[in-house]
Amino acid sequence: MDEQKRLLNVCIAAVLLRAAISIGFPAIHGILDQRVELTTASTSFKQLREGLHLYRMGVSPFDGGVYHQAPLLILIFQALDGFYGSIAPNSLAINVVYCVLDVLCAWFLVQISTSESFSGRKKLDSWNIAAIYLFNPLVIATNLARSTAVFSNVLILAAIRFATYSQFLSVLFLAAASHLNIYAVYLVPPFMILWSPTKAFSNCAVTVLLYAAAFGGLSLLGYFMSGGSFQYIKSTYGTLLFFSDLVPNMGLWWYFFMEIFDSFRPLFTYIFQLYSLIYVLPITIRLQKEPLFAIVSILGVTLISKAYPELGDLGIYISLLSLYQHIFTNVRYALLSALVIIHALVLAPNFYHLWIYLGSGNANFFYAISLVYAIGVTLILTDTLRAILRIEFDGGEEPQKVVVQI
Amino acid sequence: MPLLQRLNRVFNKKGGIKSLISLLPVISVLLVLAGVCLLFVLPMDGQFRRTYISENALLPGQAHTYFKDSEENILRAYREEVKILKDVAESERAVVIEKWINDMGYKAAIHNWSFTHQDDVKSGSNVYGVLHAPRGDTTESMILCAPWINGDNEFNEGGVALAIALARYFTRWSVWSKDIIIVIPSDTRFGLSKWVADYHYTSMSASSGAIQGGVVLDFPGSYEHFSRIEVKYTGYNGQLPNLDLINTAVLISAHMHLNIVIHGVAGTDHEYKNRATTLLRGIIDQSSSGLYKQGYGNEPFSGWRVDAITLKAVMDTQSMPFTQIEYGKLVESVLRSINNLQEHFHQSFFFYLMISPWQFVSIGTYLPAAMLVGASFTIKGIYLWLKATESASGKSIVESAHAFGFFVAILLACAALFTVAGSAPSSVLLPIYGLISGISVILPFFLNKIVERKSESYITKLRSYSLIYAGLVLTTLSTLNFSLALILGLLFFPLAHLVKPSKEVSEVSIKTSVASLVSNAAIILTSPWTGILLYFRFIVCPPSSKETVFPRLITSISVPKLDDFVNGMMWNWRALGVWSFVPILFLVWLPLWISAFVATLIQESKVIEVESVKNGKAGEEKVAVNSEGVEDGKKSDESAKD
Repeated sequence: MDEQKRLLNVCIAAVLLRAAISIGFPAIHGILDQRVELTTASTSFKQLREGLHLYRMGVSPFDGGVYHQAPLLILIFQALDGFYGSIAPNSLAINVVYCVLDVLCAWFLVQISTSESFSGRKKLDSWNIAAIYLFNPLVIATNLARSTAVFSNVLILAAIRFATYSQFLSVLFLAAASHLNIYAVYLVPPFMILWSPTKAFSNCAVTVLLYAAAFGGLSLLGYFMSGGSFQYIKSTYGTLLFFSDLVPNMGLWWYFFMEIFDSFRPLFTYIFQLYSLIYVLPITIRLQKEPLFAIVSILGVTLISKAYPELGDLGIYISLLSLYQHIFTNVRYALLSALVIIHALVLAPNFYHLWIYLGSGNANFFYAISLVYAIGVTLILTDTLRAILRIEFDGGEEPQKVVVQI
Repeated sequence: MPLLQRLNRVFNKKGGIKSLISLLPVISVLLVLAGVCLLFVLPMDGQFRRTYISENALLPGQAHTYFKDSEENILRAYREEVKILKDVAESERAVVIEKWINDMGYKAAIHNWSFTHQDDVKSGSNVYGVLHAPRGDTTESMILCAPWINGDNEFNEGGVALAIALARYFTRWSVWSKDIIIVIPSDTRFGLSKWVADYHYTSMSASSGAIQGGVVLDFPGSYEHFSRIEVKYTGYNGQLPNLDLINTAVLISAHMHLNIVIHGVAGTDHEYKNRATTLLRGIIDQSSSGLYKQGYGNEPFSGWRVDAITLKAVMDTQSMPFTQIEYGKLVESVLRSINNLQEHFHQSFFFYLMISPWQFVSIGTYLPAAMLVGASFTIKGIYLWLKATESASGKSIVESAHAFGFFVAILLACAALFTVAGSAPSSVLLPIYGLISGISVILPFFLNKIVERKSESYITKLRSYSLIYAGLVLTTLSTLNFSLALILGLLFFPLAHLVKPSKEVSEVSIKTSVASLVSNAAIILTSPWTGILLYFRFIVCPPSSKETVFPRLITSISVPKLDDFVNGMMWNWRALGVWSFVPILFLVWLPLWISAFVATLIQESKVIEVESVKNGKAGEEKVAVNSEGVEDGKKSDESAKD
């Protein structure tokens, strides 16, 4: 009872905080939306509004290289606009929708933590888990930047939440998430283990077919929205696959593709895409007994290896890690990786400022710091993977020897 | 690999990590020492580089200058006219100048500016004109600026006259490919800053393209001769112009056999002492640029991607071998070089420390000094964190989160004080500062009431957070303003290493009482308010010989001057965007100091008392849990209730 009350209080406080910031500093949405660290071509709210405007004017939103996001988002926001009359980033409707999405995320996280895959393990109180998500500055900033990644995040969490309850819903949620954020496709293999623990072939085949049908169906929306042309594929998935929108971000791609000779572009595009894909199967196979952790780890890998990463990805990754309190005593570099990431997060806007505004720095500064960021995330990734494998090695026992933690 | 593995195993077996961790405080102190030592290594032979012109297009000194003695009559005439304008109201003299430069063929305009804050208004009139380049397309321009009042509060008679005479002379040339903008601002502080901001933000009645570079003329007084040129280049917030611009000026002066110096060091650069002096003065200039008063004129251009320098003519009455015409030639030649630029200054260094006009240290060599100092705080913070998490209570995540929340609360309280100070009317700012300093001294005692029931690890974590925060800020700052980061690092040193929580010095012995004395002295001396007073007393208004005795040192502080100083700081933050001082004071220094202060206030006796009470309540179960050493106290309390 007390627990529930605390959880409720955390959610209310989180909503109030978001509302207060939005009302107190209405300009903050635009400022954060402009930050390359927080939004990218695949999640920018400003570009979404431009796409919606084009669509309303009867022009295909996928024409002209402005809009690179999923077709479904335009329909959602069109409906919202029709219902409320405004989708300005500080309008009531948008505020409510984004608050609800964040609270939903937190709720799904709490639900996941109470599911049977965590039974019998040491875990944080549910209100702690909710608070770690809702008061994470990265999550708050992503939310206030109105990044549309919030939609795909909530869908991925919903897919995890329903994986063991309702396979059908879970498949649909993951298909919708993949529609919004193509990298969610990487999660299919570990989800297969969740969906059909017995690994029965027929079951697997059915879920894959269902997933493909749902994903394809949603994607076909774009075909109708652009007046019967498949050009939208190039503008949405093509931009992601071929990295055609060369804007700096926290990832490892942009600098390479900025410097590279054009003749090498295709080769390195394949290599970079392959690099982010290549971890999926090994992680899934190795973590068969912990499919959920495989999902978390794949999210962690894509968080640095995907084409348009943003800081909100790290927020959701940290929140998912907070479910695994039993590995905390086994991680070695918690403080070190936290410090590396915090330094990178502070230095990134600083170097961007030196480069873009003051002109005294250059692109190398910002890229260097995104490398440091990648090192920080990799540290967390390897450290947690090692910890969970160590626990598996010990047969699920708490470690006998105390690990020296730095 | 097996060898490494073996070494690693031996290292772990011998408790290598543990002893390494216990060494961290020493390492931390050594890092600061190393940072300071590195600073004195920089001016040694082999550590610095000779400057060179990196941008080939500049061709400094290659163009023949025609600003000759035939122009001197015109210059003298303008000087006479400018002298008359000295006591004329600003708006009126702006009209006169506007007419002059308009008649020359410039598109001239008056720029009226004002800054308002509560009851306080600063206002004035700048005048400026644009000469559209015969060979340009109005997309690029250069600045020729001469403020009425120079950085030392003197009437810039020669500077204004020279700027106007040069402007007139420039119209006769067809070589310009960049527009020339002549600016005569009211002062180097508000007037020029507002002009630069408005030029970039608003549409002005006379306008041109992106400003590529600028020269500010500083030739005060009625002398027609000068002793040497001093190049002023430090901008606000530690911003520096491209090194190529300084090199150009230095190289041209050398061609003209002018005596050129930086940071007022006139001696030869063959001596280590002179190089070190230049370096240190450079660091002090960079860290205190825009602290509370006006600059030399090049500062307002920093932050706008405009590289500008001030050429200050220094008059030393004993020997003044150079004429004002030679000064004009220098300006002409520098502008000709800027005119040659194909693209914006980018080739050379933006991060450097000068150790003589011809020698500099680049970022790769000097940055470690500030980074080492910054890292020492992070390392001490890590050490305190590891120490805190050794104990049973320290392992609790809830306690860590709580201590973190406490530190954030201190930060927010300081931010609130900052808001109060920022919105206070200028007339009552000094009393408000007094009030704020009073609050910040009392605040730790209140906070102490909240945390005195907490365990030792809680306080250690609080200190750890504050030091990690300091390390983070200093590291970030060192890339923006190296000198400020270094000086702040040295300033915060006592807060990290000399301040000891009282409970660590419980035993009464000579050693511990000395430590406690040092700790208390460190708290008093490193308070931001002490800092402000000391800076004011010794730098802003240096005591006269009579006032050096202790009580007179304090009682003779002039309140109106202190008021001016504090208001000047606030104005520079508010109007000029100098974030290096007031925001850092309130958002970095103050929270650090308060956290350290809170830590010193905790008494050991109370902690023991609370611990024993807790143990009694929780009973044997808690003791059992504690011996396991993983569960936190709070949870065990709950389990005990169940």
